[in-house]
Amino acid sequence: MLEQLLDSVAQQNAFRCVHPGTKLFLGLGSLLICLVAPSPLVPLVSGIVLSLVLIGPAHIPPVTYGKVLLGPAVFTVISVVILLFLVGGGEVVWQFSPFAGFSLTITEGAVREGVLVLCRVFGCSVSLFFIVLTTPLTDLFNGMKRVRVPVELIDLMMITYRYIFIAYDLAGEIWRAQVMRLGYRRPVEAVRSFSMLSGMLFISSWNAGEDLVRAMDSRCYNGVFPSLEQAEPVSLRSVIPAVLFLAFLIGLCGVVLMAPDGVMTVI
Amino acid sequence: MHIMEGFLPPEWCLVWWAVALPFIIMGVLELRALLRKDREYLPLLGVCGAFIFILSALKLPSVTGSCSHPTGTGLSTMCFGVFITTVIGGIVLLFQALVLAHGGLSVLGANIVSMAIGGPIAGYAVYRLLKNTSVNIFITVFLVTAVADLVTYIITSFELAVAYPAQVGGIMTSFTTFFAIFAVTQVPLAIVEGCVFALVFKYIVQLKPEILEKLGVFSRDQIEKARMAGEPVPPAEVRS
Repeated sequence: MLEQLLDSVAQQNAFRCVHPGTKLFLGLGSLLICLVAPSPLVPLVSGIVLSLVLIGPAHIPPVTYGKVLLGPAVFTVISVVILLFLVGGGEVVWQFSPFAGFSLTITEGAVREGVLVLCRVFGCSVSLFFIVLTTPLTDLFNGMKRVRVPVELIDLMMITYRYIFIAYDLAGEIWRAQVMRLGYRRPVEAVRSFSMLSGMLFISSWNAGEDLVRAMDSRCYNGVFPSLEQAEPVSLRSVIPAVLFLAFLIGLCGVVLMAPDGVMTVI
Repeated sequence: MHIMEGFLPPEWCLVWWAVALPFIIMGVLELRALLRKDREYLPLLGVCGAFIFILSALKLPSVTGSCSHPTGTGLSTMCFGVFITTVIGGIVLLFQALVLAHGGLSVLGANIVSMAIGGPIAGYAVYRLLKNTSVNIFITVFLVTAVADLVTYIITSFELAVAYPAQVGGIMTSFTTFFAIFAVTQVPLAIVEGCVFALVFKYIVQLKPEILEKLGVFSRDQIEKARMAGEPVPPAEVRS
C-alpha cells in the first residue's frame, strides 16, 4: 500500500557517519551540474558513477535502489514519448499518418531533446537519491538551522516528520483491517472505505496534535523546539573524492562545450 | 503525480522558484503571526502536514483503472487559508522528495506553484464563494476539493507546456496535449477525490465538529444542519 520510507535506508547505510555537509555538497553539486549540462553525456556519467557508489561503498541494497529508480521511470518514459512528437526541428526521422490530415512526426531535434531530457532526469534523480539514501532527515534539519531557515518552519517540519510515522502506522492498520473485510472489492466500496480511513486518520491526527500540545506545555514549551545536534567531524577522506568528482563533471562539461560540432552530435 | 527531478530546463526551474518564493515568505509571516496569537496551532499544523503526506502516499482507486493520489490541499485551504497551505504543501512536497523520492528539489518550485499555490487559490475562491450561502457544506467540500485537484493538474500541464512548446502550434498545442493525457485519469480522479473528502467531512461533522468550529471553517448552524442531515434514521420500532 505505502511505499517504503527511504529514511529508514538512510539510517542504516555505510555513509551514515560521513558529515552531512559533505554529502549535501556532493549531491546538490552534481544535481546542479546535471541540470545545466549542455550534453546528455554529463548527467549519464554522473548518474552511473553515483549509482555505483550507492550500491558499492554505501551498501544500499540493489533491490531497494532498483525500486527507487523505477519510481519516476513511468512518468519519464510517457513524458519523453510525448516530447518526441511535440518538440524538435531538423530532418524527419520517422513519420506515421493513420488517416488523412493527421500525422505523427519525430524529427532529429526531438530525438536530441528527448535523449537530453531522459539523461538529465536520470542524472538529477540519482543525485537526489544520493542525498535521500545517505542523509537522514534529522541531519538535514540541523543543517537548515545552520543556514538560518526560520525556526517556526523547522519546528513545523520536525513535528510533521514525527507524526508521519504515527499516522503511517495507523493508516496501515486501518487499511489492512479494511482489506481483510473486502473493503476495496468494488469501486463504490473502495471510495467509502478510503473516505472512512481518511476521516479517521484526520480525527486521530488532530487528537494526537492536541495531546502533543498538552505534553509540550507540561514540559515548559516556550515556542522553541530544542534538539541535540550530533555533528560528525568533516573528514578529508570524504571531502577530497567529492571535490574531485564534481571537478571531473565540470571538466566534462567544458570538454563537451569545446568539442567540434561533429563530435557534439555523437555526445 | 509531480514533475520529477531534472525534467524542467534550468531556466524554468528558476522561474517557478521565483514565483513560489513570495508565497512561501507570506506563508511563513502568516504562520509566525498565527503562532504568536496561539502557539497551540504549531502541533495541529504539524499533524495536518503529516495527514496530507500520508494521504498523498496512499493510492486512491481511480475509475480508469490507474492509480493516483489525492492532493489533500483542499481540506487545508478551508482550515488555514492559502498562504499557510503553501507552507504546509511545500513541506509535504519536500518530504515527498526526500522520503519517498517523488518530485525533486530543482522542480520543487514548480510543484509548489501547482499543488500548494494554484490549486489552493482556486479551491479557496470556491470556498469563499459558497461559504455563506445555503449550499450544503458537503457539496461545498466536494467542489473545493475537485476544483483544487483539477487546477493543480491544469497548472502542471501549463508548466510542462511553457517549458516544451510544440514545434507546430507552440505553447497552446503543447498544453492541450499534456492536459488531454492528464485528463484521462485526472477528471475522474478529481470527482472521486471530491466524493472522498465530502465523506471525510461527514465523519468529522459527526465525530469531532469542534475542529471545524474552532477554525471557523463553517458556522455552527451550518455544521448542525449537516449533522442532522447525516444522522441515520432510527428503525421503526425505536421511533414508535
